[in-house]
Amino acid sequence: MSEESINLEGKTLNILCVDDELYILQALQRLLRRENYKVFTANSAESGFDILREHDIHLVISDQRMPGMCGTEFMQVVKSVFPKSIRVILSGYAEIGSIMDAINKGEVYRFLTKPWSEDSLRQSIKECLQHYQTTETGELVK
Amino acid sequence: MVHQNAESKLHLTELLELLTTMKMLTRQSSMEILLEKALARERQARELAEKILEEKSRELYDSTIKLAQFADQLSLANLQLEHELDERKRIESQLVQVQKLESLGQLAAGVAHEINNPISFVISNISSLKEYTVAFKGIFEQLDKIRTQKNSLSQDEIEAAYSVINAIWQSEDMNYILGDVDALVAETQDGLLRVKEIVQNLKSFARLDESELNEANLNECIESTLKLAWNELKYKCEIDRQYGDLPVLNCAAGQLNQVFMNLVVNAAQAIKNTGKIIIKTQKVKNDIVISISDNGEGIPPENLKRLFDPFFTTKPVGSGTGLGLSISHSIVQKHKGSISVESSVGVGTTFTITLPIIQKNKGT
Repeated sequence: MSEESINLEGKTLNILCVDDELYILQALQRLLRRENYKVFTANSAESGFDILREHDIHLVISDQRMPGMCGTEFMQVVKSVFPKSIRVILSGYAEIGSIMDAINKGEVYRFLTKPWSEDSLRQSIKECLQHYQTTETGELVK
Repeated sequence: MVHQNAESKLHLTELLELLTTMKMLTRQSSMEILLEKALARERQARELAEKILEEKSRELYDSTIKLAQFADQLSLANLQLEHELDERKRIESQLVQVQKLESLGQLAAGVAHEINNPISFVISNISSLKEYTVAFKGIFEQLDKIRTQKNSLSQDEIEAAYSVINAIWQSEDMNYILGDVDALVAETQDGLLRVKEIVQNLKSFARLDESELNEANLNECIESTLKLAWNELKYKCEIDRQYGDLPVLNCAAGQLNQVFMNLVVNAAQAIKNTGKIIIKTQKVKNDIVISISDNGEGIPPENLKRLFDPFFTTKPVGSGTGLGLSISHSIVQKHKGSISVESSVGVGTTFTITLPIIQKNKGT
């Protein structure tokens, strides 16, 4: 596997992708297959919570429009229950209201749009995890 | 004396004659006076009659002219009316288009999402496939070397080729690639078919030729409309399709799709959280009867009678023009059909459309 992986004191970084579209989850797994991340997937906010409770998730990438709980609402709960996680919305419909909610209520670190460009998505994910590391180190220093 | 007598006799006779004549003359002249008076009266009467006649014929002449002017004005007014009617028809058909765009606009979020999802994974998969191809090519180049130069290669060179293959196998994770490539291709194909279908549905919905009559099966029309609206519906509604056997209908299918779209989207909007929409179609005698029911909020009675009025809306400003149902009503009327509504607050609403199957000389 790749040598120059981002890791936290030897820990592999865990990413959770949430989308009601199975094929999106598959495509994201393919995209990240050679990065040194462990990728978890969930097809709804509810099963996303199950994974969050069981694993130490560092980055959550979620779709906006999903049955049941939408991405913004999901992120709002993730923020309050798992505040250390970095949150990213990956949406095919970037309407101003949902972007504002995502930022103001869900405090997302990035709002990315579908269709994504492979390289810039990989780069964004890298930046998110670097951000996670710096905030984590900052907290350790405190 | 005798002579004198005779003479006087003569005189007397003459006198008598004269007297008689005079009498006659007197009588005559009084007759003449009478006659003259009568004549004068008659002349007066005639003159009066002539005068009246002249007046009447002048009046007649005047009124003929007026009549002609009136006829001119009438045909002018007629022309204006025709013009206004044309204008009205033109505006009406523009309104139909505006409303159609509006309902498409309402679907934009859904359609954008529905198209963006497959496009996203198709693009991403193709770029993954490109990476897979690089790995395949690296391995196949080495294999080809071994295959074609088998006899000229030294054992070390063959070993070197195998170690390149091994390196690629490890670094590219060939086991993953081999396990995944079939799924990748199948999912990509599926995604492209989905995009194709969405575009077809959009096209059939947006058909602009309003006067174009086609033979259409309304069950299929409803189905393609539902597919287009599916992304709006799937998160909150369950759809119960109760399709009966329907004969083909000679109709403006694009316009009827618009009616179905309006009713289905309204039904979904009436449902606050989750609910059910029942779509029932059947042939009743010489009519096709379609009912669309929801178990949503229902419509209060005071709104019910204004429901089909143009620009009547209870939606917030900017969310609806209030044209949907009035346009739907006029589209159904153009098909010589009728649309009715039953609703009770808190229970739900049912719209029923009745369309006659035989339509003679349908004007649009």
